[in-house]
Amino acid sequence: MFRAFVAGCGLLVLVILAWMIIATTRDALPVFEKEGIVGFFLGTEWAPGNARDGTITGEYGALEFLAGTIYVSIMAMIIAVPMAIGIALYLTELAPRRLRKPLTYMVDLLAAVPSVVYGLVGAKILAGVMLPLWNAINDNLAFLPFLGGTVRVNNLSLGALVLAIMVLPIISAVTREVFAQVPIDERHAAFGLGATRWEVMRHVVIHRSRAGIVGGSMLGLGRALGETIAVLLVLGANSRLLFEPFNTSQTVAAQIAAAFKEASPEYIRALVALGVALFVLTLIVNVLSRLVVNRFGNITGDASI
Amino acid sequence: MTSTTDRPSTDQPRSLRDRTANSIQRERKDRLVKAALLATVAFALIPLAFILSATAYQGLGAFGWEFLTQPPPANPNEEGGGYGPMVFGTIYMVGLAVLMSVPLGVAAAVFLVEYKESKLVAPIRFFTDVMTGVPSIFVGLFVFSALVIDADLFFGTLPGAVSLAVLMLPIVVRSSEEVLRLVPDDLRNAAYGLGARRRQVVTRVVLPAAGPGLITSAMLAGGRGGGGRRAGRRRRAAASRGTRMRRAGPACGEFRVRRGCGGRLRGRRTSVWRGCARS
Repeated sequence: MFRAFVAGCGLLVLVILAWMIIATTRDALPVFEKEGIVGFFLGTEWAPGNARDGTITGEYGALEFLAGTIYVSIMAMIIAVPMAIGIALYLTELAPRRLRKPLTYMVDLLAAVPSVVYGLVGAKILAGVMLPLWNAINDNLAFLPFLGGTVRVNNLSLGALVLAIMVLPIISAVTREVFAQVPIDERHAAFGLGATRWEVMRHVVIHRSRAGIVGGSMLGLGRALGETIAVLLVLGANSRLLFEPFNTSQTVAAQIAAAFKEASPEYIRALVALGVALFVLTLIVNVLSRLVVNRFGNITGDASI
Repeated sequence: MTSTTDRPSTDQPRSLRDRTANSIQRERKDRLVKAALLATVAFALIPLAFILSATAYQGLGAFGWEFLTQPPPANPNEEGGGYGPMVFGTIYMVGLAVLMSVPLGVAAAVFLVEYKESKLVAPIRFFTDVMTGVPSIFVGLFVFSALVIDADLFFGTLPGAVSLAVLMLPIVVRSSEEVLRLVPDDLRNAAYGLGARRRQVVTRVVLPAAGPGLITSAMLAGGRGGGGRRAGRRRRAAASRGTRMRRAGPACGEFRVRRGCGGRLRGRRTSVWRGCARS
């Protein structure tokens, strides 16, 4: 009896996950049927209709949002991953013993800040601070592709920066755990051969942890892909297929949040379809990253959340 | 390692004090990297200090008893008033969500820890991990289509609380699992030695021993629910439209924060939650 009860509670997680996929896919099915899977994912025409009787009258091609999501997430990764590795290296290899705990705690505290606050601080304060820098980069590197266009206050780079700060604690927590598992003997062996601290870090610690770094980064990527409110506030909500880093853009999650309130019944189906696309994307990234990270044993503490 | 080997050409033994150009270069690089790593950490802590000081600076003046208990003034230009209903709504909804997710989550954690021999443990743990990464907006859409459309519940507090509970469930499972794992095996073995059944061991020994830790994990999840207002917002959004408000509940604080009514008040609200999340 008891066993069946607790096992049932455990299975509930699987049931909810399956239920999520089924319920949303079923709601979004008319949209997928009309556009086709390829048409939905690669179409660029997004013209919502207003039908109330369950028919699909608009055009739904989600490429703009998907491209914006992936673009901003990858930019965030480019900023966050090196920083997270640096932080993890400092905290595991260099920090004085007394500082290690408080510093770790402070970096993890970044994960406890609600994402609305990131969005508000990013949109209201950071946007103004960063604008001169964006302008300087844009003017001086105008010969590069996608640069030299208009510079907006709320833009892709700002979104990437805010996202990077948000995923930093997750990546650095996983990376820290993985670094801590490098055998002390190997470090000592390298030191014994006369290696400097940096050489030990580079050739022993990082070398042994490559897979864990990849896994942790992908975990952060999963978070970045699904982040909604902060992105909505700093990205400027403009769904054109532009790849200009200083222009506005839009992501899947932010588009759902922005449009849901005013959406017609038909449009809601399309937004659910967008949600399914986002879910599939994050699910793939999450499953892959967990597969990699789990090879390092049971990750504990904040890293597991 | 870029090795610019220039060994002294003489065959005489070299004093350890004579440093080759290579070793000096390596040491310089080492120092450079150390400084760079320290700078990285400092750079990462800037946003934290920035956010804490900005919210405190902008919100502290407006924060007080009145802010927590009074409803906002009918005329937005008026002075005074607060976010009382939203504070209440947040607490109410998060409380409901905790009531739903914590018992289920702790039971699931018991299964993961106490029934290790089951083949189901590995997949459940794996998908719990995966579920922590499900975007909260998708959870909102799911609850919308499952409860609001299918079960005909309409918008309101309950679907909002359910979506928060779904978001919190995997976190509760994983953090409770950590806590249950900390209970020493000796305690379990002693109870088994006295002839207790597994149910008795769990309910009489393991859960009481893990009690305080489980409360902490529930509060952690509650704090996350309060901050992760995305899913809750789905509900609120249409409720405030007033079209079909059969069960429209109290307004949710985080949602109002998002709407940005009353700019100077917003930061402080979230600080309250941050305090909660970390307590």
